[in-house]
Amino acid sequence: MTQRGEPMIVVERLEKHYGPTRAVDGVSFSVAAGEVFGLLGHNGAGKTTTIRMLTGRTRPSAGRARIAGHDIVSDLHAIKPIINLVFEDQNLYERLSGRENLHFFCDLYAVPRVRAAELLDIVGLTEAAGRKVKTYSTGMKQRLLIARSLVNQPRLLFLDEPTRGLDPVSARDIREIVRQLSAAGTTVFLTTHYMDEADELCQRVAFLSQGKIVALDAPRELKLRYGQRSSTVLLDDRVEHTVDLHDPIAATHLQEWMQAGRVLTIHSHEGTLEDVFIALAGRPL
Amino acid sequence: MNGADTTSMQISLNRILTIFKRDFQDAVRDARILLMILIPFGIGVFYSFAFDDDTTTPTATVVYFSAGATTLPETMSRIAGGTVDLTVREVADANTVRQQIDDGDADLGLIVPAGFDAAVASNASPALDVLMTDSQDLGANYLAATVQPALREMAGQPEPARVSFETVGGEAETLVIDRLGIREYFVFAAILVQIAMIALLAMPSVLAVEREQRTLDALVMIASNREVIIAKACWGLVYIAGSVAILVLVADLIPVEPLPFIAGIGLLSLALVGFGLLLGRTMSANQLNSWGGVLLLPVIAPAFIIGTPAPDWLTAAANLTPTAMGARLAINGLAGETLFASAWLSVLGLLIWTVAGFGLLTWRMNRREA
Repeated sequence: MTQRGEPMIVVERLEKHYGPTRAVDGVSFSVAAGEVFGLLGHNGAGKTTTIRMLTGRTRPSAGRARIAGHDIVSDLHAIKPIINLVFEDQNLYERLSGRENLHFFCDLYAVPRVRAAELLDIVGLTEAAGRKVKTYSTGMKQRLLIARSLVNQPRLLFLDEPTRGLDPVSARDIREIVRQLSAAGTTVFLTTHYMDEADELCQRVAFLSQGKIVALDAPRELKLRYGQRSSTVLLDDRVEHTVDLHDPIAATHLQEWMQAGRVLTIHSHEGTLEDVFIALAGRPL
Repeated sequence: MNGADTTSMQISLNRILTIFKRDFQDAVRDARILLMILIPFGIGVFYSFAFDDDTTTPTATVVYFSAGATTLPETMSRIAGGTVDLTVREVADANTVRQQIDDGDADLGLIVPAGFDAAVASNASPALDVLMTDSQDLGANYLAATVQPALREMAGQPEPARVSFETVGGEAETLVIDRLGIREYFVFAAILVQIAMIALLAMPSVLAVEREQRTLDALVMIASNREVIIAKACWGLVYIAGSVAILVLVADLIPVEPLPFIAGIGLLSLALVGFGLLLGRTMSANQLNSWGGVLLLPVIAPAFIIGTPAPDWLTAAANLTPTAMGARLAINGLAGETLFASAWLSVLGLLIWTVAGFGLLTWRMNRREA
């Protein structure tokens, strides 16, 4: 684990049961301060329940977790001011303008309202700030959600599917904001269905399946461990061959082709997080 | 309400006020909520102007001419007591008496000859002309019925019997509507509908929409569930207080005794707000839209069962409801007399309903979060 400082989140055997169903089943992990951490999994794997527990909106059935050293159950009042969440749903007050939405949350967090103008500028909504949110596009709403989540300058930001349903340009903008936050030292806890996004943003990812963490490491390590490593080789007879780099016989063939000078092009294929997920969960996201 | 919220007990007035202000402003922009508030208000104002018989006490005007001094009008007035709102006018001659009766300016005319009182006192049976219009006005007829008792009194004749009237069988034998008058009764009905619509329709709708659109989740990222609920309850109570106060002023429904009226309306509002919040946590906005109106009926109906000749079992059942308890207190305040006894029982009952409503709400929230 490559921690850049003291852990921001420490989770120990956390469980959440709904009757006989174990939505989260004894997960343990820690997230370093300033790290971008990804939690990946199918729908119903337990990602949102984990976030609900860590943000104090659901009480754990067992186990414990600490954020910035505070217990998530007994010290929640100390945690709330230093965390925030970009929700999966675009839960904004639609009859209010973008500016009014931010003013409202500035007031709730007892933050000067001037912060709203700064945030609107950061997410590029200054011109639309006076419009009612119900007239916003999905991408604009998502940017406003991010602005809202930054009102209190959180040390830990949870992002629950932040780019779901966004066009590529809006999604790219959101990812850029996340990168900037990380660079500024904010710890980011991300859940996403988009493996490329997790690969691009996260220093470490955890795969959650049926409430359990089945893998946790840096994306590159996971890809090396679980992904298929192969190369596509084009020979002088214009025939393409796929070479499995794990296979010693195929590697010997490749060496022979190279020595014989028959190789025209060679393209290596690194495994993807999608491959990792399929290898672990048995089906794609 | 999660465990930490329960144990930390940190309530922020700033957050409560912020949520309250947003809800208050947002409701003004929500046509559906505005309608729920304005419809009963409009009905109340309509009743106020449609009915002007503020009281069932009949009125009557007596005009008389007396050739000498007479105590007859005064005696009649005393016998009538508070049963008739009586106006007595003396005129200069008998023709004026006839003219005013003919013009409808007076309901009863008396032409009293000279020496009338002395003649009556000596049992000389003097003549007395009593003039009436041909209308069947209740006040005039009642007043005419007082002429003979007045004359007996002036003649010093004893009453044939001393009759005492006693009300038996408990409270409110007189219909509340008779005691308050049609206008007051229906404006009061509009006030109850207004309270019920705000507490059990408008407020739950606001909460249910917040729950469904997940804006509630955003609130509790910093606020506690307890703070959110207090803010919503304050919103409901302030809207009720404001709209009831405006309706009371517009309809000129000034209670004779303000304290029981305010206590009845206030405690009823508090109890219903608790159950309204419970509805908002339990039902979807669609369910509230579909069934909210139906829910109102059993809540409002008991207030209109009490003080009517309903079967005893129905009255007893109605008396157990918060609406009836609040109405009993408020009606006493409106009438300025104890039409419904045991006010303390109503207060106690309303407090129990309030605790039950907010207790169920807390239980529901704990169960949901845990």
